[in-house]
Amino acid sequence: MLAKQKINGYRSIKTLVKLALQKRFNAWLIRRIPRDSQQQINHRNIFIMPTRFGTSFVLFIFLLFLLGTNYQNNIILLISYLLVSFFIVVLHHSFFNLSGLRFQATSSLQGFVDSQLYFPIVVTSDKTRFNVGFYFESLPAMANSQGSELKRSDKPNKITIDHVAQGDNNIRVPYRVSQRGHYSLGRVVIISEYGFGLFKTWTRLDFAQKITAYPQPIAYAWSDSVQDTNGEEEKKSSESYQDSFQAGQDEFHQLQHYQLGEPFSRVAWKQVARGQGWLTKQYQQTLSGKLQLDFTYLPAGTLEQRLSWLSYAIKDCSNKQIAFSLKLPNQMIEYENSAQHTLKCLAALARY
Amino acid sequence: MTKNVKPNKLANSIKPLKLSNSMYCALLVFQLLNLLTLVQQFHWLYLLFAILALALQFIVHFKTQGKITSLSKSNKIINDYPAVKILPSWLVLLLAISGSIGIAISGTRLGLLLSMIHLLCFAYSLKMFEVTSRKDLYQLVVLGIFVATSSLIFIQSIYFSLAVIVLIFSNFLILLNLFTPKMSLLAQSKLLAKLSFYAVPLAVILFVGFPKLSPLWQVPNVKSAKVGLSDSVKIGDIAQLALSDELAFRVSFEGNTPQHAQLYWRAMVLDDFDGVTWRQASRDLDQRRSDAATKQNALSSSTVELRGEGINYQVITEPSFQSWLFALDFATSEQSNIGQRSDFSLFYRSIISQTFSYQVTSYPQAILTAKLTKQVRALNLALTTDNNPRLLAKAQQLRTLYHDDRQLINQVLSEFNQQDYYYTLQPPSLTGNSLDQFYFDTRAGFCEHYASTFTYLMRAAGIPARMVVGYLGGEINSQGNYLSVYQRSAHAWTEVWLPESGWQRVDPTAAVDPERVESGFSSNLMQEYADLSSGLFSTQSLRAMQWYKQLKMHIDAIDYQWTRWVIGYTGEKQSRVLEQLIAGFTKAKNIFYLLLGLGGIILLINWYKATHVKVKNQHEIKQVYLNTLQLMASHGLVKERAMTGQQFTKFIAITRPELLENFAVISDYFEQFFYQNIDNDLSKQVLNNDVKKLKYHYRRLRCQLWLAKLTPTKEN
Repeated sequence: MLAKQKINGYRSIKTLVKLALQKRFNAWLIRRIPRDSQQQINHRNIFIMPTRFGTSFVLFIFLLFLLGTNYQNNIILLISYLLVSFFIVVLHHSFFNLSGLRFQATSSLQGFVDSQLYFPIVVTSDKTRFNVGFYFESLPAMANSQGSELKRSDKPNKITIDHVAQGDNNIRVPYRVSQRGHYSLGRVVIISEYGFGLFKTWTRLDFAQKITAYPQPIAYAWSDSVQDTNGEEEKKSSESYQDSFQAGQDEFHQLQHYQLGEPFSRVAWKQVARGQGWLTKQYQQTLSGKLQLDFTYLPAGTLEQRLSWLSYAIKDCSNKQIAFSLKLPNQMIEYENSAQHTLKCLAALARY
Repeated sequence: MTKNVKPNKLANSIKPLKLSNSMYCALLVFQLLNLLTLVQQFHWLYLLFAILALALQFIVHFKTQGKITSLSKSNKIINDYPAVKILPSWLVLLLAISGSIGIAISGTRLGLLLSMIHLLCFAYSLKMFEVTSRKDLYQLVVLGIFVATSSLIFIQSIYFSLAVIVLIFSNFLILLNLFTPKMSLLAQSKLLAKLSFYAVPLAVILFVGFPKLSPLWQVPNVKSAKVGLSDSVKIGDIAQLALSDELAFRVSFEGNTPQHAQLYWRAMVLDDFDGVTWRQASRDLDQRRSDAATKQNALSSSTVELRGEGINYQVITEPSFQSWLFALDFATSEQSNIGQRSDFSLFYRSIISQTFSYQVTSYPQAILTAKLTKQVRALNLALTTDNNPRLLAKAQQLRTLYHDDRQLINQVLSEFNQQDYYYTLQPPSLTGNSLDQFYFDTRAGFCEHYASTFTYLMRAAGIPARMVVGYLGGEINSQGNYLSVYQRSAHAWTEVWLPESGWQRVDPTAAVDPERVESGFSSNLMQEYADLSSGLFSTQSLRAMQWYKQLKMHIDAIDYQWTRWVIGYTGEKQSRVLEQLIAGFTKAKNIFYLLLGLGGIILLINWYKATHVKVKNQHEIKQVYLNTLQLMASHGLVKERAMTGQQFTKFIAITRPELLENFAVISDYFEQFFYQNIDNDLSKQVLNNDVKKLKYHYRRLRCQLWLAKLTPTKEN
């Protein structure tokens, strides 16, 4: 028991130190790379470090140097010098692969918790660049709650562009919404291992954009008992939802131009095959009706649960084109049936 | 080693590495090339294994490529696939273990160095079966580079070294392709070549300036058959060696090169004759070695009287896997790793397993050992066998005739000269190595016959004498101003001891065939040499051609400079070069000029970059436009001086609407570029692309015009 406590104590100290360091680091980062919707990266804000392979490569060069020295073999020595200077040349080369890129991101994000969003960035380049990856830096809170496993498993939300063409490129960086609220999106990490895998070149840009994260829509079995749904929160089944509403079918709405980072499953392959270019299918749902949603009338549950149920209801009403009103303890939104209304209500939930 | 081979457990959690087929092929090709550099060193069993492993993988990947292409007809996107599991992990592990055991068992025969290299290459071969993650790929590339580099332990010639360096950098193509899969191979190679080229200046600076360390610890040496002279000479040995065309060593003199007849390169002294073989007296060899090691300088001052001017020169020997060094008499060297025996020959304190260079000062007029100790005298008079009775009798007869040693020597030499003795590479064989038979009957022999017989005669006549082997002469390379000595210049001569003047060199060959000593092989000997050494196809005709000789000389000169400045760039040489450099730099003037020059170059480059690119492109755009106008004019569409560009475009639109598409692009761009000035921040690359685009339209326009011209004539 004592040992366990000790370990716990040690851990808490470690996390405290970590947090303090992180805080200082973030403050420094804000000074170093200020928030802006439009940024150009250069020597001021590019970080470059040898990767693990790069470090072992240096060790390998040292090994060659030892081999050459012990055999008094000048050619092997020459090769080790050549490799060292090649290493340094590659360092510069991988720096110039990122340096001079311009980024612009002007749209903020809205979406439900636990859904996959895409953050559009316009990348302007004056030359061709290679192997540029984008991903959102995981928030410290998120990293703590989800454990380090997710962090290690090769960044699931990373998008890598093999070939950044000259001119403007539209890139959609995946963003996984983790927390309800209205908050800053955090920094986008732009990373490249183009330098033969020897170097990791990266920067962390804050585009000063915010996200409005709506509560995760969770279907509540209005007629069933509360316990049933409590256990399976993540199950977004609409089958147990109130009988009077039929489960809405997704209906095809329109085709839009494909943008980098969109899932392949939504690509309209038929059109691609016909040579009409890369398009993606967009879906919409239709129906009609009227409803009042009141926070106080919801069955017992935690705040987040209640908000999630409301969120689901709003989403569902909107899909079925039912006019509805929303009543939260601190505000009231009147009956209406429009996309703006839906977004307003969801935003209210997000900020509650 | 086996760690590399073990299946990677982490890899299971990470998604498997997917590579394109060309990437797998590149991996295999580079593996093949990397292993090829060491092919001469491999045991045949490993060679067999490596070939089988590579062939198996090539076949599997070709098959999968077939499958993939048939699949990708329906779906073009999937081209990459994870590595095919050719062998199950347990089999790879089993192979690794059994192979390592095999190498360990044959280790005693292979030697430590070779077995380590076998182990390395074995791991490299097996690693190819287990490319499941990016980490494995990295390991594979690094192993490949290591394999290629280790081949340089064995061979260091310029062409091989350069090829290996190129190969090492080509290995990076694999990594480059990993990150830029869409780039064309040509572009990748260009980029890699550019980056490698940038790496050269710093590497050269490091090579010249970075301190050369002495070996940090003992490493296993390269084991190989001994090359060149051996420490025991039988009759016929040197004639055999004289057929070899291999390089023995090279010399560059600081002053003038001495005469050919003076170039007696002493390697070792053989003073023990058992009737068949000449050897170094082994009785006190070890004692002498240690003596020489400690009292080197004491020895030379007590028994040698230096006279005349010294000749300074540098010798670069090829690896002989022995320890003799070659020098003119009487040689001194101040290098700490060189010792001197009491017979004045120099030796290296280890085995010469790679090219070795040393600095020597020789005093040809020095008097060696004016006073002989009893022990040495007895050694050099010893005649242990009586299998040459006629020679013994001859010597005694001479002794009675001539009391003076010099007269006796001259008599023997003049007999060699005047009687019908014949100098040949193909002496008739002697029964029981009898010197009698040679001297009195066959009378045809190579240098060792004469030297051996002469020494025997001298000893029999009571004059201390010993046999010396080494090389005579050398070929001057006028391109590089140095002397190359080949194995075919191997020679044997005699040293006799005369009171007061000490050890004197006497070469009986000079009496028989003076040309051999004066200028090298005579034409007769050359003919014999060619007849003996030519194998299936003769290079004799080629050898005679002037251009071939010239070319060979050039190539050899390059190789010499490489050997001298790169392979032979020792710590001592480095400190000398750096001293000179620093001495040059300390003159303030020079620094000033250097900085001025550097600054000037930087300014020039910047100015060029800033102005020239744009000007060039502007010029090109204008040129394209003018060309277009000329082209149009030649087809009857002339732009009047009064017309503006836009008017002309309109005119074209009316008269030849089919041309408008291409023409409008060119003329619009031209106008935009020159009259609207919206392009100030267009980069060089954009401009280049635009120029390319314009040229493309120009070509299409030309094509259209030609076609238009052709079709009406047909109609008519």
